[in-house]
Amino acid sequence: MNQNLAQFIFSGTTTGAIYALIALGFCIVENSMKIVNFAQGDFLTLGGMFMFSMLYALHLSILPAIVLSVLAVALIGAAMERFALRLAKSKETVVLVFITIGASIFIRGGIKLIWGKSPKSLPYFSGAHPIDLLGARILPQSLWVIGGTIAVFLALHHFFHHTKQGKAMKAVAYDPKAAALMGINVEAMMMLSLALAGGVGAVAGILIIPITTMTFDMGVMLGLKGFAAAVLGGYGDVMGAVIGGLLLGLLESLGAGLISSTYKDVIAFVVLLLVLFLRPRGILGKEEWERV
Amino acid sequence: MELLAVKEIVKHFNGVKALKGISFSLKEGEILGIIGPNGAGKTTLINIISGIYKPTSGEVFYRGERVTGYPPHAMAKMGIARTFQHIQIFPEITVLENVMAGYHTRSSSGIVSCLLHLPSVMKEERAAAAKAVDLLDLMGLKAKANWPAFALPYGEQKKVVIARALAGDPKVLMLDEPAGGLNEAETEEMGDLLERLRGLGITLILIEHDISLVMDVCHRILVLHHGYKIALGTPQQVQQDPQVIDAYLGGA
Amino acid sequence: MSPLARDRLLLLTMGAMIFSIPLVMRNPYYLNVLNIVALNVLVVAGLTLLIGYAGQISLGHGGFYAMGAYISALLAIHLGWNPWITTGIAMALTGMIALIIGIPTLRLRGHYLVMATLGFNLIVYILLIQLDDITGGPSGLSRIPYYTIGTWGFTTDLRCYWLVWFFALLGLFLAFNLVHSRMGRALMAIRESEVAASCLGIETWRCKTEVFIVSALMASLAGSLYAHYMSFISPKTFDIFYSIEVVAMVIVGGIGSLWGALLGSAFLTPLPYLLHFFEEYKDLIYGAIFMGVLIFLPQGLAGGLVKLYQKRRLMSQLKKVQE
Repeated sequence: MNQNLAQFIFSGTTTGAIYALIALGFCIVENSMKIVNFAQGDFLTLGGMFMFSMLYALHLSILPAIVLSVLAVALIGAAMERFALRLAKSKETVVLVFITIGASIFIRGGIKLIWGKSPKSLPYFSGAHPIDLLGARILPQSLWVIGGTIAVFLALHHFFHHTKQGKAMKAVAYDPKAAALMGINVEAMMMLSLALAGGVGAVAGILIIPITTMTFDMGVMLGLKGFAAAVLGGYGDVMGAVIGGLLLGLLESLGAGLISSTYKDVIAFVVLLLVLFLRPRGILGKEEWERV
Repeated sequence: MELLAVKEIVKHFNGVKALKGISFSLKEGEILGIIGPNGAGKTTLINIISGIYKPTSGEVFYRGERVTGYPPHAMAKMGIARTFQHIQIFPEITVLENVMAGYHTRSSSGIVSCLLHLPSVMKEERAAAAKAVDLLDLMGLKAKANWPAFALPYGEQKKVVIARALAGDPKVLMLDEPAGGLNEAETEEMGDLLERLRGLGITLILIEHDISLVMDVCHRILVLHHGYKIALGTPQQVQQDPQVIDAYLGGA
Repeated sequence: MSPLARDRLLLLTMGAMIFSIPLVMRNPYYLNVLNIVALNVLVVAGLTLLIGYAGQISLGHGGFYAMGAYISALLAIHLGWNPWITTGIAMALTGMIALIIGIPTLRLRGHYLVMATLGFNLIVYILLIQLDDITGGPSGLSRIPYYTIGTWGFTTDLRCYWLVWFFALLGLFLAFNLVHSRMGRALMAIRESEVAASCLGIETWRCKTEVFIVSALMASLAGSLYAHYMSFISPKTFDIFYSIEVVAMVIVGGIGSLWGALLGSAFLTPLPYLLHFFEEYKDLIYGAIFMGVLIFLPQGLAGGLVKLYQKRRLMSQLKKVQE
């Protein structure tokens, strides 16, 4: 295989895994509330920042630092449901989505206040020595990212398809009233989904802070990319999130490597639009009938 | 003259057979009832006629012309109007504006004329309003013309959407369960209204669960069961059809 | 009184109030903020037609705003054409682009439509930064010619106040015409149910595309006005946050009410300026206010008033029926 090509594919897979992980966060909230949570990218930033503080301010060792960071962001996600979304007088999708945008601005303001504007970074989990694979050099951290994404994907796939809680969550998304009649605690489910989304976001932040130094507004662009990935795959589908993420990552990396690095985002978004024009509900999405 | 005809309509949804070869025709001024247990395919059939679904096979003819698969707005323009089981009223605007929305096919101002509110637009607005007031009068709702639609009781909302469908002067009107969800008094009023429409010579297709209502107003009745046509005839013929009796009393 | 006559009367009153502000207040800093409010009113009025009436969301109108600004500015700077003419050319080109992207994009629904319009805005934004030979890149374009009438130039905040508010009110006037017409009812029908609308004979795709173009034209006009008023533009003004901000104005003002366009713009535009005093806390407070309004005023600022009005009218109608 062409060495450059292999390199592009590996780096694209790593970026794609990050996008997929963020897309999975979007997916969870869609599967309980049917809304886009635009604070998902900021959950990621929070995860990285908490990790940084756990290690350098509290001097914890790596495992407890990870657990506490994930819990902290999960708590913030739950709080966002309890103290913002749940209080909303209107349950219109567009209003709820814009509340998440407000939350995103609020969280970013908070991050800037607490951690400042300077970028934060952490050492790699397992050394900076690149591994040779099929002629491409990859950082061990990339394997952590890919592995982490696979683990989260498998866990969520299991959760939504094989657990009672996961199925109950989807029932809430499909029809909250009917779900409530079936004895499902709708509000608790929504809170759980935001907490899960927070946790998944934190995992993403922790995995990538050693690769990309973290700034307070990093979540904006990464959040959008994750959203794009989720849409590309078919919004709300966990498998779609992973496919969309990987595709977007590869598109960017190949576009940058083979065509133009300046326009990699343009290339990725143009392809995204073209895919949507051909498949209006994403790659895995099915056409729905409007009931009359 | 034969106004509308459907021939051998078959419709599958992802492998589920909703309609299995339905044919019937409709003469001008005729009232055809479509009855059948839930899931028989009644709404699917009129969704196909109004162009919302394309049939898997079979044809729809209107005034002798093949119109299978035409989009809904084209069917509406040709004179096929309908109401919906789930009412689909526009709740936030007034009753009058709801009915005026049905005048769309009879007016033609484009977006630029509307932005500028040209005299032609004003003329159409007046004509639309006059038509809507007439129809509301027919429905007995003239006094509530300026109410927001959501404020009306359900029975009256059902009349508003019928008026809306009539505003375009359709050649065929299809009503999907006009008495569905109505109480006894409202159902009776709806029956009176249907009688009035019959008196006006409007060609109607009527889907309805209230059998006595259908028997009273319809000239002919089509009975569907599990996607099959099991009977088509006058109310008397249908009432005595053993298959119909079986579908309603036995197997269903 | 017909709904249109009522809205026109109210608009006339508003216009009189707006145009009397400079008689008592001529602080250029405040006038500048009010001018930006006017430009936002123009964009938000168009978006209200698209989002509030036709029910189609767009997070990409920052892109059309940018096109209006850049196309007009570039033609005026490089070819020396009169800004009035370049403004018209910018609108024509933006309208054509809106048509081309509107046709496939408006087939999409919900989150997919949000993504596609966002994607469009991002593409425009990146091009503005990267095509620096033409657009001046991140540092933008300066020395953009002012509008003139004869030798009289719209060179100060006060002079531009008349100009931008004239177009803002004109935009609202046209929008009111539209909503109280055949097309306005068609758009509302589409918002409630596309299937029901098409069964009334409404060509839904065509109506959606047309109103999308109208809203893009209004954004383009606002962009050109901005460029020739400020005489300087840079990509930062036209990023996705602008698109988000204007849609937020639609919602905060009250979805589905053109008066909401005015109120939403008047409320959210000055907010960042006001919060400047809070320095590092300003994003936090902005986010909190943003959330708070959406949480506690579900119908938006105008929606609350409209509901109150509707209720009173209903009561009086009830009385009439009882008599």
